[in-house]
Amino acid sequence: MPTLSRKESLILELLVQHDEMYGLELVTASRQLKRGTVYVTLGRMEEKGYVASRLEEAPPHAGGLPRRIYRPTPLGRRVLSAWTAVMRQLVPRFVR
Amino acid sequence: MTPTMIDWLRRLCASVCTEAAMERRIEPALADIRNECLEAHHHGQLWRARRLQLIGVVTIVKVLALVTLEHEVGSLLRSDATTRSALLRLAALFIVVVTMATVALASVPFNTMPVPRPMGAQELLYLIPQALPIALPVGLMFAIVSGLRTSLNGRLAVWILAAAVSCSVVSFVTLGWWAPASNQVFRVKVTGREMAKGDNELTLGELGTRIEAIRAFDPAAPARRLSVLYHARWALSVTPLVLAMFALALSGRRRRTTVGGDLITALLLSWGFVLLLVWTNHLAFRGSVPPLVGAWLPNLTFVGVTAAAMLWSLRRRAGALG
Repeated sequence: MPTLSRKESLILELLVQHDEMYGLELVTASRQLKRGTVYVTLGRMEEKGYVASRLEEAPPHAGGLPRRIYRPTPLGRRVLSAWTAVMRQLVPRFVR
Repeated sequence: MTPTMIDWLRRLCASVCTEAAMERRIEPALADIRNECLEAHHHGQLWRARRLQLIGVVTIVKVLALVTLEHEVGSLLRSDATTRSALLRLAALFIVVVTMATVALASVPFNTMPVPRPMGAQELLYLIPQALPIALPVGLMFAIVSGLRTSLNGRLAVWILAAAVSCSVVSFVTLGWWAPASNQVFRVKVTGREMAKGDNELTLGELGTRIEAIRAFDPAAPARRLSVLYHARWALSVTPLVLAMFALALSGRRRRTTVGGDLITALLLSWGFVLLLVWTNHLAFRGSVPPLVGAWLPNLTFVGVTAAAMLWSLRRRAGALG
């Protein structure tokens, strides 16, 4: 079964909630993710097939760069729901 | 963040990262940071834009470091079985030798020190930090000389040197702060009363300040003992790197013998280093050589032998070609 790290599950949860987000948006929304690590984690998740990305059009301000926008893939959604279900089963046992 | 700065960061990252890492890790970060700064500018928040610019540079450096680490770990996992098993063997030998050397070095003062009451194993733990700065370089050299039974490749050398740099950092922190604090706790525990710090219990900063205070009081005062301790701490911090380079140079040029032969060579070299260290420090404490020379002489000796071995090898290779 595919596994999810804490960061990966947090990113997937946010993406499932908001559908599409860019790196810094995820950092601001989560308050737990760090600016330095979010891009590396997103890149790794894209390689695993949990998220997909596209390039946004360049913003209207002069000199703006096109952002990379991420969205969860069907595989990512399935892995998150399976992972959440497993954690719900396991965590109460650990707490006891 | 200005376009010039973005270009400079992009060029810096491109010189280190693969195309895929640039596209999927670095470029998204650069775009987000650039747009965030522009938005702050657009709203007239100049100070916020400057702060974001600074945070942006730190972010890119972090991303770059993580991408490099990710790449190195990935390449190690993908590396051939010979390299992987060589690294595992070296790591196992290093851990065994460092553990044995640390316990042995910590046991000497533990068993010989005149103390008012018997000491337990817990007290021995406080002596471990002062043993580590010698155990780490010796363990590293021992592991490379006795355990590197395959031909040295670039990836193996990078991992060994990275381990040596890490050991140097650990040694520096231990010698500068951890060992003095631990020694002081040990003294208080075994005597059962508060005590003033001795020379070995002063942190690196406190040692420097005390030497300056002595010299301010009397410029002619040599403050020899404190100076030797001060310089020795700096010198020992570099020793893991020096001994690792020495062992790598030696392993690349030495004809392989049996496992027993390699172990004896490693043991003799380790003993040689420890004896040289004790002898040169003794000379410096006695005033036969200046503190700086006494402290750095073991490192300089091993650097000299490493350089000579490399020169000899280069000349031999040039001779074979010409």
